[in-house]
Amino acid sequence: MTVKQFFKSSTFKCLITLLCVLLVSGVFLTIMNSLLKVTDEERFARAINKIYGKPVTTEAVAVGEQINEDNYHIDEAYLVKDDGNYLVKSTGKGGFDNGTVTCWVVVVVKGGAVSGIEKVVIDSNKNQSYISKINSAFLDGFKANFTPDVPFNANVGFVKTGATMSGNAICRSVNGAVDFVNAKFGNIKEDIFKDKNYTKYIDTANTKGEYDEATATVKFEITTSGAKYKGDNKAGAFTIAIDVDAVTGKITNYNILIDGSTGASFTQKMEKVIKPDGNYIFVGMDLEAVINFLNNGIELEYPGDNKGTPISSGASQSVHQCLYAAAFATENYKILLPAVEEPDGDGETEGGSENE
Amino acid sequence: MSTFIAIVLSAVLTNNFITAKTYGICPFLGVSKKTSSATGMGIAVTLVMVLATLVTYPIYTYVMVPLKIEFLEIIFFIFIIASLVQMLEKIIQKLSPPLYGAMGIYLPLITTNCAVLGVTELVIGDMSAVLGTASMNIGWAVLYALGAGLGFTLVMIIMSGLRERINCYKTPKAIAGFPIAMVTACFICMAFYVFSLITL
Amino acid sequence: MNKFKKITLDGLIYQNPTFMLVLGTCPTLGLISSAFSSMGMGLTVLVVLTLSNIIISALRKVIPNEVRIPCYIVVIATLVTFARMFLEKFVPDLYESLGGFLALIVVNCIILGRAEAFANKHTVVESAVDGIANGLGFTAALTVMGVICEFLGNGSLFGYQIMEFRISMLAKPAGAFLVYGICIALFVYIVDGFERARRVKANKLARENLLKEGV
Repeated sequence: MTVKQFFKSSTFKCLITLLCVLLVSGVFLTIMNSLLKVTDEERFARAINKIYGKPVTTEAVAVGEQINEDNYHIDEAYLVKDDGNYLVKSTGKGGFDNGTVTCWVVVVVKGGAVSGIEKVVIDSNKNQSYISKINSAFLDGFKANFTPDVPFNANVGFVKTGATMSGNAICRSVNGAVDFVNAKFGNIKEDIFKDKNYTKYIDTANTKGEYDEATATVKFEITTSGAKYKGDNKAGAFTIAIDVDAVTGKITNYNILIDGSTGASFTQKMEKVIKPDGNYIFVGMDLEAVINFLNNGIELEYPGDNKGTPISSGASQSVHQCLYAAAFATENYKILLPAVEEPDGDGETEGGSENE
Repeated sequence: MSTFIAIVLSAVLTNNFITAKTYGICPFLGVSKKTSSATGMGIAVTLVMVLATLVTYPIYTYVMVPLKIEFLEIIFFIFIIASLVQMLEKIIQKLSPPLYGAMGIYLPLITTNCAVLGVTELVIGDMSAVLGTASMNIGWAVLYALGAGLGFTLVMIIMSGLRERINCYKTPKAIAGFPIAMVTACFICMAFYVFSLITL
Repeated sequence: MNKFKKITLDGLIYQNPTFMLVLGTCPTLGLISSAFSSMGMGLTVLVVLTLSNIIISALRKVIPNEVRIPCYIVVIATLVTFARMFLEKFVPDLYESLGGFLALIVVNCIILGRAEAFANKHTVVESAVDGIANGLGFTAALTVMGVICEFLGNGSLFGYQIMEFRISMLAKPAGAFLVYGICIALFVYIVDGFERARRVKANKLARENLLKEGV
């Protein structure tokens, strides 16, 4: 057909109408997009409103390298000029269904170290189906329970919410914010155990130890990481005090400070294995004895086939953490022993101090 | 390999589009009276899902995001899906009339199927819960779409089997039709809920 | 006036999109566990439906018949995109609680259905009334079911925890289907009852009139 006929035909009319509708829609939406765009600043302002209830002046702080990627991830950090506190956006891992919880944490710093938590507000989460059970009473617990150098543990001092794993992830997030602020603006907390042996189930950042010269023992306060186990009812983290004799490498004292078992029944089953007659079996063991306890002689791995091994108790996850902490202590006590002094100076010590 | 299993398991069982996400309910209730039509609809939906993801994912990632026109995604996607469905209908009609007779009649309905638009929107979003540490690419996106379609078909077939059985008996007028179908769907959802307890 | 009354009653009760026609079931079932999301979704669909009806009715003489479906889809998609931008900016809580279902309004059978069945044959005012009526029917249905499921399934109402007792199943898709099915059965039964009573009354009136005339 001729050009004129084409312009009059219905096909042309259809195409033109469709094109017009598309054009009008496109233009309308582009205009609306520039008018109604939610910028990142606005998102941040909304978060500030949730926390402070009013706008505050903030200054962004560089996050730098992540200290401990296992438990948390620091997303953003700000210095709040209005009250001198630090506002940290931190994502805690190891929540329900392997998800995370992202929180805004207001950290108070006094005298070069973190002195308290002012407020914790949940920003978002991934896969936390029970997040609605975390109420303000739980979040207020951070301000009430803060102790310097003691990491938050959802089993100690917090209200029970029924969303244990989300609570654990939130604790990790807040602990991460505290560690971050301490590292950046407070005393540097060096993780000396980070790449050592037998650290897979140990929370090395929150583990400390020191050499006690008077008794020639290395005293540990070890925090285990409960979350790396599989299965639904994971045991929580334990905090265990272990003393290792510096000369023999044997454990002289063993005491569970914080029990991460998820119930009294598990604690009982665990104690049947590790504390059968009221005394901990680990006392008197060195590293070889701890490994041989499992009769495998190989790296302590979990979950494994524990039937028939001494660890099989119905509370394997709790028993395993206690066992693993013992292995960690007896292996790594050597790190904390004072260095033996060289008779000839290498001249490499800083300041060139004379040898005594 | 573990990403492969995670995606397939998630799409077919643990996050099944009908029983966990409640997408694609209109055909689920409307077309599931007979097993033959349910199977036909399921296969057609799977085909459209895979093709739609194959086309929309690259267009979104490589054209719309660099040009900063993400806000036009709904228009683009629905247009692409509608055109794909039209083309598919013509192609099947030409290539294989018996196949067209079996499933071609459902194709126009698929344009308004939440599941198809749903899967294209899901794969461009945050899938880290399913993928874990792996990153999304066109391969995983198509695999997810395939799994989602297969899961959809699976539940359709189960539902149609149950409904055919129910239709053999006389149900009171008040609950015949949709109400009893909904109760049946409730039991299917409860059965599939067990799968959401699988953790990898 | 009678015409508008008919349109309104049809949209609200006799042709209620959720309970009578069983359309738009995906967002109904997906958001049923939260009364706030249900009501929010209902109101968003109300606005989009009314606007779409108005626009399509205004353009009904202009759009050729062959491309009407693609044109309707583009119009609806534009409105949904606009709704998404609007909600993200001004009502972020609702935007987050609706999640993926906000984008799926574009394939909601109700909107395309009313455009196809009503808006392209009636005037702008009538289409607007029809849109509002259907939207209100949808919103009311969704809110009622949302309240039931949230209260019994979670013990809360619009976010405020009221009781500790909860039947978790009702907050999951399984419970959603169950509540939806029961509500359909109840609603149809009640409406049918009213219809029957009305018909009986009308018949009685007609018979009386006939008798009077016969005398």
